[in-house]
Amino acid sequence: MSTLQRDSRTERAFLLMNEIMLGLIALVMLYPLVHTLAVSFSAGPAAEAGRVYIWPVGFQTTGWRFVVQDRMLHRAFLNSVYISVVGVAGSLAFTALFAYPLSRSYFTPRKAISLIVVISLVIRYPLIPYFLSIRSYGLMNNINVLIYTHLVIEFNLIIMRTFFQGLPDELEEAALMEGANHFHILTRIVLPLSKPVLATLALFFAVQYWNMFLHPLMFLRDADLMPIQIRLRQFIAQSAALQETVEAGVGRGSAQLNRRTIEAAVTIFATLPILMLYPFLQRHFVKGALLGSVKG
Amino acid sequence: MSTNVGTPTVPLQPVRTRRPRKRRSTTMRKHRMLYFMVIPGLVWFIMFRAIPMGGILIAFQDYNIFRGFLESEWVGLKHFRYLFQYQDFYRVFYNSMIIAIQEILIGFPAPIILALALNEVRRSAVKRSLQTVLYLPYFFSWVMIAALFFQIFSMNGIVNQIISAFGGDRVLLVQREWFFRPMIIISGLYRNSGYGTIIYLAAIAGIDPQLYEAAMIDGANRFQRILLITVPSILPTALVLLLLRIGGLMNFGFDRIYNFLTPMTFGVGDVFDTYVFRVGLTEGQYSLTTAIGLFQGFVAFGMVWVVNQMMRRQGGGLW
Repeated sequence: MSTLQRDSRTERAFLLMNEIMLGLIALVMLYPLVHTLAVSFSAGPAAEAGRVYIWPVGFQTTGWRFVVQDRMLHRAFLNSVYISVVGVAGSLAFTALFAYPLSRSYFTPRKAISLIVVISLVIRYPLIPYFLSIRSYGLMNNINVLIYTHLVIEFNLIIMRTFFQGLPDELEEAALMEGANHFHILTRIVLPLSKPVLATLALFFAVQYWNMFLHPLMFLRDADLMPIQIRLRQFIAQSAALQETVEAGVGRGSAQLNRRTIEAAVTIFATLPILMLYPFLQRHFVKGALLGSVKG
Repeated sequence: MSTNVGTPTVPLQPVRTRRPRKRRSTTMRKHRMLYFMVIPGLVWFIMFRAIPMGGILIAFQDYNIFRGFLESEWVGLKHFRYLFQYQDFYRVFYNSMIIAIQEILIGFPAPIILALALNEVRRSAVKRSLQTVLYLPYFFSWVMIAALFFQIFSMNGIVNQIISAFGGDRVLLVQREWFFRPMIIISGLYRNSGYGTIIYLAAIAGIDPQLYEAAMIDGANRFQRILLITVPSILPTALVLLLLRIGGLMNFGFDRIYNFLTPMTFGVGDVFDTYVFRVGLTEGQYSLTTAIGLFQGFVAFGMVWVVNQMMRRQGGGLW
């Protein structure tokens, strides 16, 4: 391209400015995370006084010691691990089972069912009737309700169906000739060929389960069933309340001394799985975002 | 029609009609498993989508939890009449609309601009690291994002330090009414604008390079190429995304607002989602809040319809 016409000087200046601008945006976006990480390892008073930026001041592990010791936090973390692991497995299996018939051109009710899926993608269910029906199924205060309600996500279902449609028919025809039934074809032929889409959707489902907030708030009552996001929210709300008392001039007790480092440590802790998996997953979610756009 | 004169037409007919039926029944048998496979999914859709959708009818009832749906009294449009005389309703409606409009005006173009800028980055290592950073916040929960923002905007946070460095007074921004909407918009930009570029970058990658070559031969500079080739090429993608976005506007996302709300910002921050949650679920006013949900759905549909009509006049639109 550049052989045709060399970039003029203003254009080169523009390219450089562009990279600098984008770099600044990226730094601004990265700052809150790095800052919070630094605060989590800082001394309470330094964090409270705003002397921490991107590196810990007065290195101290009070915040993380709290994370290691707080039983309720561990419980919440394990609850989130449970719904994420079981949820991803359940959702993938359920979605695959449902997407496969919808991808077969000779499956007669295919169009009608696909229409239902698209309609429910576009028109969102109203919250209150949704709540009342699930309560009437007796699923209140049952942690599995978080999984049952997310076995299908319409968008992911459409992605998987579209992928199945793109697989070659020959293998399936051969297997049918040999007397295999469709369930065998799905588990022995289609799914092993679908690893890319399964990885992408596993990522989407996992993030969905891990970040779930409204559903546990609606359907769970017991404190020891709550997932990590609810627990994190409680910390932040407490912290905000404490900040008000500080503002009002009420004394700075020792409980308040380290609240900021504790809050920061809990925040990072609650996001740890996502932060650790993220580097390995970028390839997959870029693919997923595009898969969805094809027939989205 | 038939050219085979020698054979009588009568015995042919039953064969002709019977054959398709027979083939259909064998495909039914051969593919019977497909029908079994689809059952769990259908049951799921009935339980978690169809029945809740039908539950909209309680907007026309005085729903009573002890009597249930079948026994509750039908009251027609009572709740809708009540709504329109109700101060809170207008406040919540106004708040939802303002945030929705700001979100469209700022949140929608942001990934387009970002994608255009990213596309001009020639060094692929730089581009890849920028993308890695920009996509990350999309995977954070709103609770997490609120936590990050509360750190940044606290009394001694970096924003207040910058303000006081320029001689301003420190303010607890997260509790100021005037800052609530900007904060919601900024947090949306933070989370979504990077990830939103993926689809536009793909659209840009799909543009025929010959267009650029031709433009360069004609002497178009870089800005002209962006403005006259790249932008028009991604416009169809942008319009479809705009339409989908408008459809999702009124149900804006409960998590996003709820996690930033404080008692001080209730006046400007209370939107349909948070109001329905609070009044419906915690105060138990099921019928009234279902009526609000229905109203919300109609508004969203109306907006999509209007925008779609406008696009159709320009030769686009989804339907």
